[in-house]
Amino acid sequence: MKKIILYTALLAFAIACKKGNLDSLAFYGEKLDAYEFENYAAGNEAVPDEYAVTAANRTLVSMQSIDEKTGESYTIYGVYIGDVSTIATDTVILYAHGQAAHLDAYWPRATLLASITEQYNYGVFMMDYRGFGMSEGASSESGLIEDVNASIDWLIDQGAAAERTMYYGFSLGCIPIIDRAANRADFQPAKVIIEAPLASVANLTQRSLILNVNPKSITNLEFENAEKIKDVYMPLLWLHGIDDDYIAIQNGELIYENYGGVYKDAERVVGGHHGDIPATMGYENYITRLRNFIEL
Amino acid sequence: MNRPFALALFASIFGVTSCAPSRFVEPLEKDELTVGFSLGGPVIEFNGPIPMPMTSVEVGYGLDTNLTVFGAIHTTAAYFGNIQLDAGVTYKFLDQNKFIPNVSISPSINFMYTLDDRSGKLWPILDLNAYWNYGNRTNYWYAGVNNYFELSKTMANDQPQAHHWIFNPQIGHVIKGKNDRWQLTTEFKFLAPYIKNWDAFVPYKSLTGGYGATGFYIGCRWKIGNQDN
Repeated sequence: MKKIILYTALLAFAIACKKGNLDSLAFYGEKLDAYEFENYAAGNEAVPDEYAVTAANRTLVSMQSIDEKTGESYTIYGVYIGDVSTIATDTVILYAHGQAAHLDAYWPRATLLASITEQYNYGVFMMDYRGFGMSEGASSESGLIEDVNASIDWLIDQGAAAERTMYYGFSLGCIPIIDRAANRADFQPAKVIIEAPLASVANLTQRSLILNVNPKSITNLEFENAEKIKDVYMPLLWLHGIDDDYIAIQNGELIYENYGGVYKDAERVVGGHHGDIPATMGYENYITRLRNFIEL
Repeated sequence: MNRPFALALFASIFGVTSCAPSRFVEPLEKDELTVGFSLGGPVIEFNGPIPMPMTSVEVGYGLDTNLTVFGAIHTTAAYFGNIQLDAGVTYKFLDQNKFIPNVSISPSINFMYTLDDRSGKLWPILDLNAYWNYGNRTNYWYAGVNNYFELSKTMANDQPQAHHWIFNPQIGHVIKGKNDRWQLTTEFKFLAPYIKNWDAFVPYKSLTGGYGATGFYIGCRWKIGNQDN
């Protein structure tokens, strides 16, 4: 009996010594040698041709994103839709995409955002996080924030005005967007839009598992949007599909409830799932909804 | 949509409530000692329905003919740097008599300690099973309920704990080897079949449709010691 207990304990200890975690699995980036943008076959994500953006109206941008812990620098890539030379006077949307693939996969969405008024009156800037598309390195929770920080720095370098800059995060992209809106004091955007955000890793796990399990038992990720939103004070628009079966709308409700500012607006999309809100709302309705919020 | 994070999350920590079948439905004979393992877990959608391959290693000892003490270590949780154990007793308080089944009760605890966070959590469990022996080897069918109790008042982000009692009906079958040297267990567990699952982060696949999850498990144990041997 003693031997069995001893061997079992040793086996468990040996396994525990080679500890695993799931952090890297949250970032589902795909590496690319080159972007296709308007030539990318978006499949079901494609939007009607009337929203198409030509190559002449976009600029591929590279930036240096610094790991604040190690000091290591990574080259990350972004794309600016619009006229870089007029950023200083344009309204700019900084779009942080979700966990899938790379910039190409979100190109159709970016073209919709570029169509909020007449095309190209608004600049749209989105970046690939480390480990996504052509961007170097590997993603992490802090890396997401550092990559969006680098994108904000690039906008500042081009003369973008904070009072005409909107932050827009989708799903995973809400994490750095909320963090920067809450914690970066030198560049406070005019408004914040979040679509299908998760409340926190703890909320995801405990809502799914029913029990109050410590998420630290398998991941170091926190993604504390529901806490950080308490420090966001600029006007907020939250969009979420009622039928979202990936990030349940309860996540967004919690964030919306915790929002620390004065003006907030919600669009709970009937029949909407994760990522199909523009199509479900209707592209024009989606665009109009965003325009109305931005032009408040 | 690809959900590697969700699937892995599920695989690693759903095990708290669902990584093993009922440990001992029928108590061991007095002074019997067994070791065993279990494999299986809740069924999820992953290019088709599959049960998660959760593993645990168990030990059981017959304190009396109707009372067995048992313990197990959860090997999947160990991979993630956690010490997860369950321990308890099985007590048979009603003997089979024609159509009346044997009935046993198994109070136990599930304890999980996260080394990184240096925090532990404990869940009380209560299993109640009816079982029917049949044949020369006294194989048996069983049906019962597994009850998990969540003691925390709050959950993530200061929300009130949504469920304090999780009720999981189960059915299973145990085949015994020659001279009862080994046992092979198969079990279906209907995990929280009254709680909606369609918007859960993990893609549950449940026989109860949009509610709960369905667990499927196999287990094997060997008798390795008995004072009589």
